[in-house]
Amino acid sequence: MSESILECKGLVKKYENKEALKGINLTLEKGKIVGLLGPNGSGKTTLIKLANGLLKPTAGEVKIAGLPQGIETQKIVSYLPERTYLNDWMKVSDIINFFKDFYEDFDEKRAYDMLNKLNIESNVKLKTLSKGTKEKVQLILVMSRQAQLYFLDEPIAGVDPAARDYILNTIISNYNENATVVISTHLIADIEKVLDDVVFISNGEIMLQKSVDEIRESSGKTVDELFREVFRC
Amino acid sequence: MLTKLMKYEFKATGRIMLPLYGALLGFSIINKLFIGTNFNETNMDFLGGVPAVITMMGYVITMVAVFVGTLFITLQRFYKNLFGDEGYLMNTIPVKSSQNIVNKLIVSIVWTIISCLIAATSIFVMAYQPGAFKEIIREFKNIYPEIGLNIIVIIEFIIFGIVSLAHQIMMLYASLSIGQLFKSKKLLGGFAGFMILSIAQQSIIGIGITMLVASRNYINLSPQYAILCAIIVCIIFFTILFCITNYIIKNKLNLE
Repeated sequence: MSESILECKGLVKKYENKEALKGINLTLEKGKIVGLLGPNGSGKTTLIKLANGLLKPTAGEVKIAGLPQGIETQKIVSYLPERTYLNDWMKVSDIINFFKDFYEDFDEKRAYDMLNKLNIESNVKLKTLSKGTKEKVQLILVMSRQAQLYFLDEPIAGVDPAARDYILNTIISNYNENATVVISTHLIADIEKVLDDVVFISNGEIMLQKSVDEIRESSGKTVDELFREVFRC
Repeated sequence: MLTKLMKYEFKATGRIMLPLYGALLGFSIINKLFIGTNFNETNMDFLGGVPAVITMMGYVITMVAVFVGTLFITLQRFYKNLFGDEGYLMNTIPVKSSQNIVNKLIVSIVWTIISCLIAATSIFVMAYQPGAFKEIIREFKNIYPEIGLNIIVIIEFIIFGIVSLAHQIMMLYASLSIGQLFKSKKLLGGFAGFMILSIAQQSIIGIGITMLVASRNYINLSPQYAILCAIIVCIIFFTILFCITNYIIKNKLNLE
């Protein structure tokens, strides 16, 4: 179980005049739910985008399951960005077909089950859905894949608390035990109970990487408390 | 994968183009009803000719819309779908960047050709008179030997048309991609890219022609070879532009 699924070596990303990531070394194991936690602008999204090829590193490399980022890794990575990428004119069923066409590991039945549970009709146009509902649709699409690595960037920020619980449940119940789920968020209290490991990131650097149990044992604090302490303003 | 991509691309663009085609043909038929069989006697009696003028204006506006729409989907589908928010999906599905480009290119070429055919049909509908077909064929037979075009030159012309269309579209794609290399003002950067690419190509063509004229070989150049040369030059430029575009999307993507 100690095989790594994600490996970042000396990962640097520079924007115009600031360094978003300052040489990150990070290894994530298979079969874990990892919280990628840090304040706004700490580099969480940049790291995830680099792993998905939407940004290219200034220096260093990202490897997924031992492979450099590319088509082969895109087949096994399921990514939920922090914004909606859905074509407004499509129906929910159209976008499900799209996923079915392009991802071999997409489970259509599971997607429709989840839509039913959340009372989202599949024959309506995405244009008519509220922002929160669109986010739910997108999360359902992403979680209906049998991927090896999931990146969920702020998956619960825009949805109501009841749906939040449902979503977290789907995350822990849906993924297979060899898959790794990376959840980036600053709403720590809500997701703390599902996390195995946490990675604290600040100013483009990894501050801490520990298991939740370790944190509880060594400091006697919850992850939320530790976060507030570490990142006190 | 390419066929799957094209399926969605046609769906996404067809919902804009098909209604426009329908409207254009519709207007041309209504216009034909007012025009009747003789252009000079357009029926201006019905409500003082107001409906006839309005439908003619409608036709002209729709005609413009068809071609603006064709250009618009060429630019917008490439830019928004690959470099905008939708790019978060299109660039993370397991598809080669070159397939993404070829997909958009083919679909855009097809719509441009259909737009031209529909436009020609609509004009023909309005200009049609009994016996028009026979007349056209007869005139064509008269003209044909006079121009002295052979079938090879005609085929070459058609190939040149398609290749040059692909080249023009690739110019737009390469320009938009170059714009992506700028930190901000990416559309302005794209415009600058377009200017630079245009100037570079014009210069190369200019030098080539000058050399040709200087060598005095052009006098012996038959139309057949002249067009062939044009096709080859076009393909070379196209290939360079394609490589630039693919390189940028593959290695320099920066979705912010």
